[in-house]
Amino acid sequence: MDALTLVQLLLNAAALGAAYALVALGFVLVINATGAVNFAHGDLVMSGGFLSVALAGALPVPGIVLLPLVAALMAILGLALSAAAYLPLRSRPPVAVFISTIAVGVMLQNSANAIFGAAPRGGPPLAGDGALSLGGLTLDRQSAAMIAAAVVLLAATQILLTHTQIGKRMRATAQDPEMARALGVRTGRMIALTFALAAALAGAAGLLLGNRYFVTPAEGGSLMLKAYIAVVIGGWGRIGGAVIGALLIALFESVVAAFLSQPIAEAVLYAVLLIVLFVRPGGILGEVEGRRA
Amino acid sequence: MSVLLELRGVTVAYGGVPVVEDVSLTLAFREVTALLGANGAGKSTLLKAIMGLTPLARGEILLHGKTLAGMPPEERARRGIAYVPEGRRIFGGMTVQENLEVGAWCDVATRRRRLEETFFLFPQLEEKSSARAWTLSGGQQQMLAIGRALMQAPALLLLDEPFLGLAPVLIRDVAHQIRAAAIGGPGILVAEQAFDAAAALAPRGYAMRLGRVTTQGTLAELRDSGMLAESLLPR
Repeated sequence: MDALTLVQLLLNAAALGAAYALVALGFVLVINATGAVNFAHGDLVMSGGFLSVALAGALPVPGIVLLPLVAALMAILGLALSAAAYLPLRSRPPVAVFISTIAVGVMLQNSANAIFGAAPRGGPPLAGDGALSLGGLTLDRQSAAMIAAAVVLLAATQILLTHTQIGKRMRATAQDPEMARALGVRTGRMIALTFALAAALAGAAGLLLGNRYFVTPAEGGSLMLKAYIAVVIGGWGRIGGAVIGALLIALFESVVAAFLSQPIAEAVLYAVLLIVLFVRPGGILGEVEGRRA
Repeated sequence: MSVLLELRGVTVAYGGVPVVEDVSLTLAFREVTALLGANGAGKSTLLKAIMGLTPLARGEILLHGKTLAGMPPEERARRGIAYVPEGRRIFGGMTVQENLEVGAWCDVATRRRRLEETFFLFPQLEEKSSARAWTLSGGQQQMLAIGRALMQAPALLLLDEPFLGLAPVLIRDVAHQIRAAAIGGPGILVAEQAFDAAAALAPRGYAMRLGRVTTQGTLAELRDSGMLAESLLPR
């Protein structure tokens, strides 16, 4: 394998990891805000993928133009998800939310199956096909655009959460909802907004992945599993943790799989997961909140 | 004397057992009043009930003469009640400044001004403004919890044992800061077990025992009444 192929492989891994990072980030935001797992999260990615397939069929514009539209529509779906499957069950044990979100996931899957069929569909490319020439190095446009779009979205999310009053109140709600209420925060709205943000990020990831990796109605489960692994490896509650975990998974899926084979890469990935759980149960970056001695 | 807060026959029960029973009290604008009582006397529960964090079994709570019945805590906070809970409950994963800003319901300029005022009152917090809150010492965390409440520019400040677990030298500092915050500021209801600590803050108070107010008056009267010794008896 020559150096150029390796660079291209690494670039593909970075592009895939960037999309996975969006998935993982939305996933962990909802867990932190609600204490419950949103089992429909992978199906939200799938929905975003099919939404972009449908929109690309109706509007002949590049995927990057569709991205804000897909994110906005998915945010509305996220609000609906929180209103239907989370907020009515807030005072129930987390298992109630597991079941309600699994139900929503099944509905999304079956809807996609009924509308688009079970066969894989290709999403729109972000900024056209072809390659960019950069010095002696050629980068394919899709990978470069995937990375750029994901970096912008991750940065925007980080700014929202740390530099706006609404973001601070979303985080306060996640850390101590009762105390947040005593400070005047309408926590139900903050949780609904968290679902909206998570769904927007998931939908964006669906669009980013749709062109190269195709969209199928049943893909949600494996995407959610990857989000979960990314968050466990990287550490809960940090944007950086979700990104590191997602990049690591993508590295295994593209580079390690190219050198060895797909099943071996997967086995090694799970071995790494076990080692991380054993050595650093809080993830590579650890949890945000420590404890004073 | 115009009334800021009025409690009429407030009863709070957990599982049918009254923890606070038939408590009536009033607090004037800008008045600092102590709730004195032993552990388990019902002080914390009473403060939670005023904040709306625990429901009333009977009775009524009025702020500015209007009933708070059925109003959730977030709306009470926006009407001017701020709460510093026992154990501080700061947002550990957020920075000091972010903690302070969560409850600032105002425009950006006002928020900046309040932040400056809070940092003026608690210079230790300004030095640590971008540190994660969990890294602060106990005393600094208490200051942060009080500062966070003051950022709401409240009409009524509820303090639940603000000196618990603090070293004596810090108790003096925090007491000084609470007195400074009270000047021209909110009415304060402070729950306290230790008579001296309460006396450092409040001229008047109510003594509670087993969920009831047993006596009220100036702290000197409370001390001399003999009821206080009884109130402060452990469970």
